[in-house]
Amino acid sequence: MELLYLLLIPISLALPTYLVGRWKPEFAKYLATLTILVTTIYNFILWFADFTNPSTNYGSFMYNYTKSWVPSVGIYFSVGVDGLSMPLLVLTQLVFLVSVVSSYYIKDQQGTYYALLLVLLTGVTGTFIALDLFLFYIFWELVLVPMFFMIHIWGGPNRKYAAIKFFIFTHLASLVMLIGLFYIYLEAYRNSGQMSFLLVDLKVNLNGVSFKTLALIFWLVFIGFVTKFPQVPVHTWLPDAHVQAPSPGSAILAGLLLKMGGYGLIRIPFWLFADVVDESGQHFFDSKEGHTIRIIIGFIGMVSMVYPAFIALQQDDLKRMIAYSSISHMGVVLLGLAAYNEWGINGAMYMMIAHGVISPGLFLLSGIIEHNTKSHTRDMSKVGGLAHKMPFTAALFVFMAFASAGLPGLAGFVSEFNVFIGLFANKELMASNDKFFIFPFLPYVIIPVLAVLSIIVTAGYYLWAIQKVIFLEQTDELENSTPAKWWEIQPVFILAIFTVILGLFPNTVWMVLDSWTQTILPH
Amino acid sequence: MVVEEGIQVIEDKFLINSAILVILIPFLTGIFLLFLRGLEIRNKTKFSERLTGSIGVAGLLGSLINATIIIFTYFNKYDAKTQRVIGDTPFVSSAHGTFKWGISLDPLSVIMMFLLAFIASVIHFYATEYMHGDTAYTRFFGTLNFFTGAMFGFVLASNLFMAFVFWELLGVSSYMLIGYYWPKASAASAAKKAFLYNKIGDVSFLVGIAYIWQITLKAHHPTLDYHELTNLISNGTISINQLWFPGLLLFGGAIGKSAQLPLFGWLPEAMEGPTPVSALLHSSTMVKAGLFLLSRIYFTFVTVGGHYEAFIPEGDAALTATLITWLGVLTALCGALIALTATDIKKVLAFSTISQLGYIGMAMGTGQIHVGFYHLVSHATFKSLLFLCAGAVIHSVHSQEMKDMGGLKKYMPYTYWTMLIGLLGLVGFPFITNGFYSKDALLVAIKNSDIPLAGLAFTIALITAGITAFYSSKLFILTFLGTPRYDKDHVHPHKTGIRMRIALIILAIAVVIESVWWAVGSIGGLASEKINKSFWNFEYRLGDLIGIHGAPFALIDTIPSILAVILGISLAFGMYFYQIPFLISLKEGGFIIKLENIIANRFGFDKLIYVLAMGPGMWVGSKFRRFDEEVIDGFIINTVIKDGSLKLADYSNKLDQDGIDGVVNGLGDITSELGYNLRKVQTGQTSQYARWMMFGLALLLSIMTLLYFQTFTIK
Amino acid sequence: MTWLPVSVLFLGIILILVVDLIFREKAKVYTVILSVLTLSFSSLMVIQTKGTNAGSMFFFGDFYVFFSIVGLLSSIIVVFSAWKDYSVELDLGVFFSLLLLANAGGILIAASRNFIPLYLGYELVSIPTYAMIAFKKKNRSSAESGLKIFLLGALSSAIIIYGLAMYYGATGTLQMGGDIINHSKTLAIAALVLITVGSSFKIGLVPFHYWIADVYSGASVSVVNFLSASSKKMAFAFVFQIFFVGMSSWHNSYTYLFAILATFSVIVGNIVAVVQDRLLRIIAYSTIAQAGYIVMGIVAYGEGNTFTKELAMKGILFHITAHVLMKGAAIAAILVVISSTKSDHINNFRGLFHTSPITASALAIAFFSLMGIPPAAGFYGKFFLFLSLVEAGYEWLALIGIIGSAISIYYYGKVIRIMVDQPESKEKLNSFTPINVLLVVLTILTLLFGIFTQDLAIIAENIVAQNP
Repeated sequence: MELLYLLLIPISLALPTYLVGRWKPEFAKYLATLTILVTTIYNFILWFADFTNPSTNYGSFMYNYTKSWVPSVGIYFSVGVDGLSMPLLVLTQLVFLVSVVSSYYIKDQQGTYYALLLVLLTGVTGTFIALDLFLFYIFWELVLVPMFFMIHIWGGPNRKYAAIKFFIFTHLASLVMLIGLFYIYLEAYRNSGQMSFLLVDLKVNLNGVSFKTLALIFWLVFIGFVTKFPQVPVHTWLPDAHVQAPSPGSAILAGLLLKMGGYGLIRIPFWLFADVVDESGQHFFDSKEGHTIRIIIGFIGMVSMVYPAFIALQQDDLKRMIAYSSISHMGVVLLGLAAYNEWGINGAMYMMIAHGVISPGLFLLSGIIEHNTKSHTRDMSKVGGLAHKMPFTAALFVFMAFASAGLPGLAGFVSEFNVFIGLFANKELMASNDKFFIFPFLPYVIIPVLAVLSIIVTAGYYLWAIQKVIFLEQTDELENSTPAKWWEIQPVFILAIFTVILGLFPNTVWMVLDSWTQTILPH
Repeated sequence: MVVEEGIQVIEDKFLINSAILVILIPFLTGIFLLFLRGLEIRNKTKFSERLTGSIGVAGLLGSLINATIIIFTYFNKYDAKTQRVIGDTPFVSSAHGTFKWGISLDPLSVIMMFLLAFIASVIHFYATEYMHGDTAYTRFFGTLNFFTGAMFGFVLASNLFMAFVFWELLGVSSYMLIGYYWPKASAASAAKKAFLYNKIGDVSFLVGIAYIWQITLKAHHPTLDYHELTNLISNGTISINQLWFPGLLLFGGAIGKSAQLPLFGWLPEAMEGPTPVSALLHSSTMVKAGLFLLSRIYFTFVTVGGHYEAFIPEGDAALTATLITWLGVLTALCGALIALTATDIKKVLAFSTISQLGYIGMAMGTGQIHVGFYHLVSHATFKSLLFLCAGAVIHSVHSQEMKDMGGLKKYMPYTYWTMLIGLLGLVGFPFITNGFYSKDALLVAIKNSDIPLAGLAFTIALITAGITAFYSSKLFILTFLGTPRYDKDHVHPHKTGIRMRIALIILAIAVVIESVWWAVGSIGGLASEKINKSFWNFEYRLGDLIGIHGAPFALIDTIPSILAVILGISLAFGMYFYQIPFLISLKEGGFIIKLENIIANRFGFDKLIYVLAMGPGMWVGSKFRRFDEEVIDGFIINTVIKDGSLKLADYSNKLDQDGIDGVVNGLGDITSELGYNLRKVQTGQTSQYARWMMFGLALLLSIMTLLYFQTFTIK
Repeated sequence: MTWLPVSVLFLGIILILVVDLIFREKAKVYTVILSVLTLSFSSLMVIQTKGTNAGSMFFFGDFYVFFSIVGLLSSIIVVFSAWKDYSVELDLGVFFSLLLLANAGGILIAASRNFIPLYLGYELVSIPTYAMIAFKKKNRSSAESGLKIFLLGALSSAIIIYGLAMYYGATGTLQMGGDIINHSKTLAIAALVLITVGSSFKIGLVPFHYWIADVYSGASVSVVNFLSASSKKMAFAFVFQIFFVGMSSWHNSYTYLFAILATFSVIVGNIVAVVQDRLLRIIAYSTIAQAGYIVMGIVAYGEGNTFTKELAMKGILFHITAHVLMKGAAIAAILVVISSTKSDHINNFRGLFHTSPITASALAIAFFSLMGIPPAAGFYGKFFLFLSLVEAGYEWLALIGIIGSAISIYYYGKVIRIMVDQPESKEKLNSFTPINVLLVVLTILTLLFGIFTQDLAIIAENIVAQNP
């Protein structure tokens, strides 16, 4: 029941918000803020009540609520959270809270905007807590609609193209994923005779399915998740969508919608296939098929980390640069999964959380810059010397940029460090490192090494941006700018605080993640 | 640290807490000051410098007090040779391996911490006056405290993970300090350069850590703790032949941070920061971090035998040690040569730092960690003094160029004397300076080492000592002696301010104390075995504590270096003070000038780095960008998929309507002639639709007949 | 007892005609009420008569209940939209009586177990449809469409009749589910292809789809609504009856045919819709594509075991129900715009969200539903259709469906995007309360479709169980 409130409160208030907005636009804003504040507080209460005990096994679902929906095919309305989804759920509320507050600059069709925001919140929340593949897919797709409108109505000059591109890309990928989900359901049914879309049932029922089939399923769902994620070469919707979306929209897009892909990737193949063993007791991801899969996703992750980093180096638009850096960071997640050990997977999950607090901050900051420049530009070549006029914005930007570049003591570092440790500690590399100089181009060696080197590039583009935008003499673009307003700067400040907390005391979240990870790793 | 068995790990809450305080006080005061700076900006006011400066200094004094307590308690209460105070707490804990915050109090860290606390306190005190009137006074102290805190953390860390954390924090806070005057383009890019150069090293460091983790994980004992690693080596769980490669990677980190070849380009430019920052950066923080790291991970490249004998292992593992040593040697030479050509007083000192760091690296590479550390201590003391003096001079003449100075002796007596003391240390003036003894130990270490071409290395090191003497004297002459060359109408050299003066004097005293200490230990050690084995002989004692011994001090060993130093000094005096024509003509020879050009361009290392990293990076970036925009997004998605679909749609539509209509209209004429005059009621398409229908019917019928005849089942 | 639903319909026809005669100009509201009452009452009777035994010619099972009720209730939508549609207002009585007549045919189709009544039902649906298409007497394009569809419809009927004759030849019976007798393979093939072509025409599969675009853009909007919401479903019922029951033992032959037809329909329908700039033409082509999706269900049904059949049937039922709701809402919304602006050109929809939020929201949600975005109704149908395809081993066909679905986003999205743009003038549309109520109800049903899925799923299972 507990989790139902998180779904019902926002969705039931969406229509009232719209109606209130037609009557008095200001009230829509406050109503939405209040709603999200309530869900946020409620979610934090849930976290502190049940997710702070280190001895709990977070591998099982808590707050489980299951009701039969279409029993004749085994569809249930089932929600619940475990160590993987709960941190993301809290993150969802948090990012929405900061996004709704930083949306206060929007003056056009406020009612619609805030109503859509609430629908979006429902969709994202639902994706993270759904325990039934069917339900999962519903929420997964539901997210597209409000985001499409947010980009399309409140976006930048090229918003129409970006919105439809976003929609078509992600929808097409979702449908391919859907075929994968069908396979999961049908294989589980053929294998066990039980019709069920429930994740917990599927996890049991898949045991015995041939590894070849699982590999096929993996690639199908992978396409779906990786497009949302997004990784090279299916990433091109993201820079467009980010650049054109209003900055709170970008914040949600980067902070949460990307994470849905990562969550799905971990939940569906990695968690779902965790118990599948063949006759010799080998786990799927340790088998020959799984091995190939991991090398390929490691390679994709590496390319997605390096390639966008170089592109970001060449960007002039601040938001575009941050968008490419997001792709780059999501590559880390894939690398962590490819490592397939506790450091890698924990790091991957932590990266989603860390990136979830850092990148919204950066997007909101670039939004602030955009709103305060004379010609509403984010071009680094035009904006300069921001620190003279908007010292706090500048300071936060520097802070967030370093956080994103992986500065220790802040959230991003913990995950990056662990992922790299995980990559170097993966079994294949450990088995092959005696041959290091004989085969320096072994994928196990080349993937981590190139990925690590991209850290320099990451630092490079952020430093470049800081130098151009924050430092040096002030340009005339900033003549009329005033220090940022409270509702512009406070949300970023909150994110900054979380960045520090997550960076200095990662163990509170980490132990939950680790407890969860231990349940999917073979021992 | 010791590879010997029988190291005892002690839990001492009090000491650990004090050590935590040593780290935290500067951090917290730093953050508090930054917060105050925020308030200043918000309220558009400025807190009094007295207040914020005091907070800044108090932060460091707090550390110093704690450090003093620790150093005394540790050495008195425990047997530093066998007992280590270690305390740790998990940072990120996974089920099969945990990364920890950890404090380790052992001889090296305790001494380094104390040294750092002392020098940093003095520099902070100095800065309260030096930075007087700066608009962002508060920010300066905030960042400076933060920076020092980071170094404390690095020094006291008990494991590589925590070391890496603070290592990176050092990087970022140095970025803030170097870019302190951020509106200036040169400062902004210097900061960026420093950070990026460091980042290259950091990546190497990170990979090194990962490899060590991998190796220990393979041995079913994942750890990054220094003392556990040494235990693993000593009980044979892992061998040095596994560790040489990670050792090399960790050294890669040190190259960046400690400005070894080829990554030294950032250090001279780091001069863009205020002088106290340079003083701190060059003496006991930042650049020393890399070398300190080497002294902590020496077990990856040298083996320490049962009885105090450090030797370079056979096989692959020797490569690391050789590389470290030779890079050190070359860095020492290059740094010194560049320092020769530099005209900016701070740059001379900066390059001399690089050169001295090379020396230290060289000693560490030979396995004589204690010798390296010995010189590290000397260098930290006199180099901080030198920078502060240089700062005082700059403060006074408002220029950093030595050509604008000269004859300052009578205006700035204190600075004159203190700088003299510092420079003597740097030169290694025989018998009376700390630099002399530590440098001598270095030279002996390299001479006796089994590094390939050790003789050549020794010779180069010796030449470097001569060059050092030369440029140090040159600096001294051009600054304080001779005739004034500054613009007398505008510049009025004045005495150094009181607080700056006190700071200079304190550091000078420190240099003197060290000099006396080193001298008593070394010379006295010759006379009496008792003194030799007492704490007076710093080198011996330190070696004893960490289990490595080099050759004892011997007068005969000092002769070459004494000669080199005297030669260097006399040449400099001859050339710049007495201006002997022969020597000047030597200087102005065509070949020398050419050489000077090459050297002044830093042997092209900066360019090389640019050509190797920056240029291709940007080039790749632009290519990737074009590929992304034009091929992936442009061609595949927009042209092929989007435009292609739209074209296809257009075409299909035409086929569906016009195309059929076209066909229909053509055929329709025939049909009307045939008398099926349906066109009269404007339903011209109907017959064609019917035609298509029949066509489809026939088609399906044929398909079924041809292909699926067999598929029918008959019951 | 058995024929009560049909009797109710005929009674309604008489009453409507009488009322229309008596009240003339004022009869509009009364005829509407009467039609709605008749249709609802007839639906009730359908439920009542479920399971009654009526010999070998008829079977009153779940298939009968479902398709009769879908036909009847979707006709209510038509009634509402016709009320608004001024082009038919003069002859509303006649229009409604034709509508009820067609429904009687629909019930006949849904209940048949013999080809004779099945074909009669089919004609009973078709002939009133032709009349309704030609209903805009003064409008030339309407009359033209009427004639066109009449002629072509006659042709398709002839083909079907011919096919049925072949069927008789191949099996020796007109009872559904006959087995092929020896040495009659050729006849069977002929029967199969002829019937397939005839029915493909009716449900608008490529390449027998040409009439749809013309008729949809030529006829009056309420007739379009009838065609797509109601008559189309009856045609599908006809097709299902023939193939699921009539040719149930021939299944491994017709799956190929329908796989080809579905592929063409989905691809052509979606692609051609991309470049249309009139809403009704978009709807027309999207109808072709949607028919393609439903036909995919036939493919899966024909290929599989009971489990697959059940999945396919669920997909079909969900999709058909959803189709009624979303197409009904979409066409009713278009009707609102047309009645104000007199054109269905896409530019007339610019800024609709600002001038008429209810209409625009209904249209947008209908379109999202047509795209297959959850939780709208269209998603459930597509989900199960694709699921059954994968289960039946037709992954490639599912992929084609996916590609079609992705293309469809473009043209539906285009309309939605135009609707959210700022309007050229702030002028409000004429609002008409009953239509708004209809839109709201349909939209809510579209969004809450998930609630009915279990009931529909059980109906689908029953149908599969009841089919031989």
